[in-house]
Amino acid sequence: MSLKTIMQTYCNSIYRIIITSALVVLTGSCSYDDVEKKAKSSTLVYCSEGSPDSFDPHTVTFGTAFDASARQIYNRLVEFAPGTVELTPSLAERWTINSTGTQYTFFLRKDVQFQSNELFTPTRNLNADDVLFSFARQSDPEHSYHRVGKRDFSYFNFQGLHSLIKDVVKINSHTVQFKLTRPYSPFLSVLAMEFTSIMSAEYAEFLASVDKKTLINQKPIGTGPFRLVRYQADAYIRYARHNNYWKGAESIENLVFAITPDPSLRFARVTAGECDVMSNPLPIHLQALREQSHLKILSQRGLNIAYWSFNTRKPPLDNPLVRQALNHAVNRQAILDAVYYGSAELAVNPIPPDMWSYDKSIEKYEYNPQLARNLLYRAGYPQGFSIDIWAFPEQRSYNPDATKTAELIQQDLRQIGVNAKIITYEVGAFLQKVKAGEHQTAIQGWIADNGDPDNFFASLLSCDATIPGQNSAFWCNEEFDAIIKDAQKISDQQHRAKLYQRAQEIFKEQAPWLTIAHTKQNLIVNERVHNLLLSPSGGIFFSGVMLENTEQVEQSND
Amino acid sequence: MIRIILRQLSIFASSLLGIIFIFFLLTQLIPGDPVVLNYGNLTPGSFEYERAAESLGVNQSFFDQFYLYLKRVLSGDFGYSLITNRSVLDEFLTFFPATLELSIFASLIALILGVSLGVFAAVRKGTWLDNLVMSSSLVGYSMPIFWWGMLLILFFSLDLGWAPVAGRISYVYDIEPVTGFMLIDSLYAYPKYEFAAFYNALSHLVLPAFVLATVPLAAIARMTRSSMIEVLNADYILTAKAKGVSDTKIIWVHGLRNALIPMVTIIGLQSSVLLTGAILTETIFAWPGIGKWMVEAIFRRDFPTIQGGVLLIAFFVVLINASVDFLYAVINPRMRRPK
Amino acid sequence: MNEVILYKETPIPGRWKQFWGKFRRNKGALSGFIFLCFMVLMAVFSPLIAPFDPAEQFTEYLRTPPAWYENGINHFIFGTDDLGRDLLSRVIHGSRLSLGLSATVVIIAASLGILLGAIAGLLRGTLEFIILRFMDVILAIPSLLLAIVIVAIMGPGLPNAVYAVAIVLIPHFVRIVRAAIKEEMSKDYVIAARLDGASPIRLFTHSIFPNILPPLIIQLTLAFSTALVDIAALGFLGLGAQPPNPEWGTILSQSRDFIQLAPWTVTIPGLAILLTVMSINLMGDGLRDALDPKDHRE
Repeated sequence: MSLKTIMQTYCNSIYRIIITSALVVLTGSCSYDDVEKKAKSSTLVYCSEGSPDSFDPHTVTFGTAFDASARQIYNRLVEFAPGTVELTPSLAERWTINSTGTQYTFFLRKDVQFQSNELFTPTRNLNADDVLFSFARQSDPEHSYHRVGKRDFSYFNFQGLHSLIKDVVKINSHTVQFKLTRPYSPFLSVLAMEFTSIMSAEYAEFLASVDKKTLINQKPIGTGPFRLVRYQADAYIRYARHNNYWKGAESIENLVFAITPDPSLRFARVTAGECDVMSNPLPIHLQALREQSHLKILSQRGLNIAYWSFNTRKPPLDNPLVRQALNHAVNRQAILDAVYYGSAELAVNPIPPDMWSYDKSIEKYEYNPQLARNLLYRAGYPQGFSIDIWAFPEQRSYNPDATKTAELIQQDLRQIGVNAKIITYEVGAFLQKVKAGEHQTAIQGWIADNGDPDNFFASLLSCDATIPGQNSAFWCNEEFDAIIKDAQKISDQQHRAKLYQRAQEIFKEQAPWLTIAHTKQNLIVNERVHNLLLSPSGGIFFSGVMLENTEQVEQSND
Repeated sequence: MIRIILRQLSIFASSLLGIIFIFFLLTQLIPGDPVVLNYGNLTPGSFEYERAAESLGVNQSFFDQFYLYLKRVLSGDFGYSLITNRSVLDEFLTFFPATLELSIFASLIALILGVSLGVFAAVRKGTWLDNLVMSSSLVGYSMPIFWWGMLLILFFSLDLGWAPVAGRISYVYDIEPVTGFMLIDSLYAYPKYEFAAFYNALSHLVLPAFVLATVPLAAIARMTRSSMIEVLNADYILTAKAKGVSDTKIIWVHGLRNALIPMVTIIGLQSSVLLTGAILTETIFAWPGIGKWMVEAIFRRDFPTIQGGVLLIAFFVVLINASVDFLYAVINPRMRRPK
Repeated sequence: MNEVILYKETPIPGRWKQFWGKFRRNKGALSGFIFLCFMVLMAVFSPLIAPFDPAEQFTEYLRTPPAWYENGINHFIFGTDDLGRDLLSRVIHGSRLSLGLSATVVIIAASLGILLGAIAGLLRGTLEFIILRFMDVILAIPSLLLAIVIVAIMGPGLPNAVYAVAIVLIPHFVRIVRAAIKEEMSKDYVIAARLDGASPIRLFTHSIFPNILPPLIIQLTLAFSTALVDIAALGFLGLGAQPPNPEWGTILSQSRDFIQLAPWTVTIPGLAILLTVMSINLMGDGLRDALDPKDHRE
């Protein structure tokens, strides 16, 4: 009986439900416009390119993870002034350096408060213990937080801080002294890098007491402008402003990272107004943008490079002639046109032209397949050979499309008899395998962490960097390495520049990479966002950003 | 009744056991050190490595290892993600409601529209309306939904601006995940946003649910039509007609009711189709459900997550199939008393 | 059926003639069949038909719209993609990959499935139980997910994608063959053959197989369309054919970034998939109607 009546009313009721619900949705969404506007006026949504693997700035290595952690949640002793690579005081209000350049003394601010979350409320302000904790954790293998999360302290290691920092000493509650084993001129720049972010020692102690040490990666507590509210992997990260921020609370109340790895979807979202800021737009999006009046482009020449590295431990790439041949074989202008759409300049040296010590006198490798074939002949490969090209299928600011770059290279190589196979892995696996040296050649890139050329030469091309595998060419040239080491000891910038210029000559001759491009950094930003500055190092900082009140604008338009 | 329940339960249990066993076999086949695959890069010889090896029973016999595996799975331990270090079961439970919400909504669309169109076409058999319904259902049935989704986003979200582009809700709303179902959670946020969040969530659901519903909708429409045609030609319908029962009543009461019975199992089979579709739909609409979670895990080579996640999904499908069989047995009088 | 002509003998058409007659009358099925033949010819002769090499990049003609657009040129009828490759040539060459791979998948799946189904149906006992349970497990996992997992274990790439999709399709063949065998085995003619002392293999090849052909053919077309969509889906997810292979799904995944600026690079390959799958399904419907012995209406 009941079934019968259900069926009888089926026809009428179903259509009634569909129509009324459609009406309700339509009218409903209109009548709640005000609520949405109000929520929107205090929330900035940033369409980011990926999920952070952790919120622990000491262990992560991707820019994406630094954006999510260090750049919003934490502070460092010294920092770069917004939009530049000039050093400014941060948690340390001032510092002194002794005459030999081996002792750095930092005087901490006394008014710095940590954030709180549902587990923990800080009872004290920042002091020297927090600084000691943040460094001891990374340097001391016996430290109780050293093994948390089964991760390496990659940056700490490949900046060579293990051997550089002899000791970190607490002079008094707000004074810390770093003792170095040798003079190292880029040290202050290094301390401004994200991996030296200062964590709360008190929070770490608390987590240890409740046996939840790994939460330090997942529920971070810092001193920075925003605190983490919630994170759902592959979906979003939500922050709220830190009301007791020592520089004063931010004007944005809520900050959301909408994780959108697919660039076309990201672009669609920013044009539809679902997010206010879009990271890593494709060059083609910038062209399309002219029609969208409510969006603007923030653009800056970045300190970065895209390159194709040759694993010099694997034949035939151990032969410099072969590497030179490959350098001559690739039509880089075609890559700049097809992949970068002209938003990049051709890279000649491993450092970008805006960086001091850049050597303008070095000539680029001309595109010349005939010369390349001759070089291969001289190297003993008249028939060519087969290699693999590794590329990861994700977009980066230094290379909008590595697989497409690989396809173009593949086509060029065919002309000189080199048969290339493209191999792609997801980024994590890619980096892991490249670090282990499993590749023959890989398309990669680098964004400056600090304004010092040492950050390029030592991080990517020194012998030390072959051990964590950041030097993916596994290229270890004695003369080059000696020059890099010397330059670290000298504080005179002109003298250092001379040394780096010699290093660039060796690089050109040995050709461990094919340097591809230096890109402009771009962000697509909704016009209601003000004061957002691009950092030359590629990171995004939302501190100091303001949102226009959209309601007021509309009223003034009327 | 009790007999039916018992029989279904025993089928269900044996399927589960079979799945666990075959999964165990598969995990044995994956090349590489099982300890590293399950627990990440541990150095052989270290304390952690030995402890992990012991929990897997690496050095024990095949059946002992299976016993350990079975015990772990039955106690709800599906391993730990190599990337996030969270338990796979926890992750599954965070992502699953999103998929379930999407799939339920899609099934409702597919059922309501599919059955209605099917009946409609059957009643108007041979007319141009019937032809229209049938040819569009053929198109829908053949649709590669990843392409379909892209087209709909292009048209409805970008060109017309009627629907949001992606995600479950606008990020300006701060919704605490209580149940994991956005429609319900957004109601929890009523004091803060009134119904605004709810409508917003609903508007985000429509397009992906419609894309996901496309193939099942077409399939259901086709099946309803042919089943309905058969029923409408049956003697009892002719009898009812002769007795002067109204057309609407014949169609909706006598016809549909009988036409739907054989379809219950087929609708149940659609659960697997829906989950397959969910993988693609979630990728296109950045919908944070299990489909997207699995694809990401595969790209990240997170083996414990892949293994545990697929096992959990298989459990779910078996559960659905068992319930559908049970439902079928209950509603079909012929199945109730086998003689 | 009333118009029986007396006094004139109507020859009863043969089995295949009867089938063809029915099939031909179904306009949809016939057009699907014709379109599919067209696609197959295109796939076989793609190097001759395609105006350009699918990998050739015309760097001066990046993202040229199709000829029917205002600023399209006749040189590239379907336009070019973001690398300046001729889309028509890519779609034509892609047909070879997409259809060829699907056919390979179906052949692998069908031969394994028929073998396993025959074993299960003829031998029964433990072996049957094991095979069926195994197939149940495969069926319990959503097909694409299973294919993805297999690819994840074996690594992305074309051969692995083919194996993965083939494995997913096996259970349907096993089920059909086994069910059909079970049904046929109880029939008189089989019992007669068995009484004559026919071996199970002879029984299968001579008596049973010809009679389970109709459901098998229907399943083959179903499997073919599933294989086509699944391979494209794997390509779309970046797990199947790798660029620069012009497989349709792979083209789609690559042109996704340009959907707003060069929508034709998305619509055209997708349309190729849709039309091919549709023609296969149309043909499948026609086959089902024509082969169904029960269907004598109309």
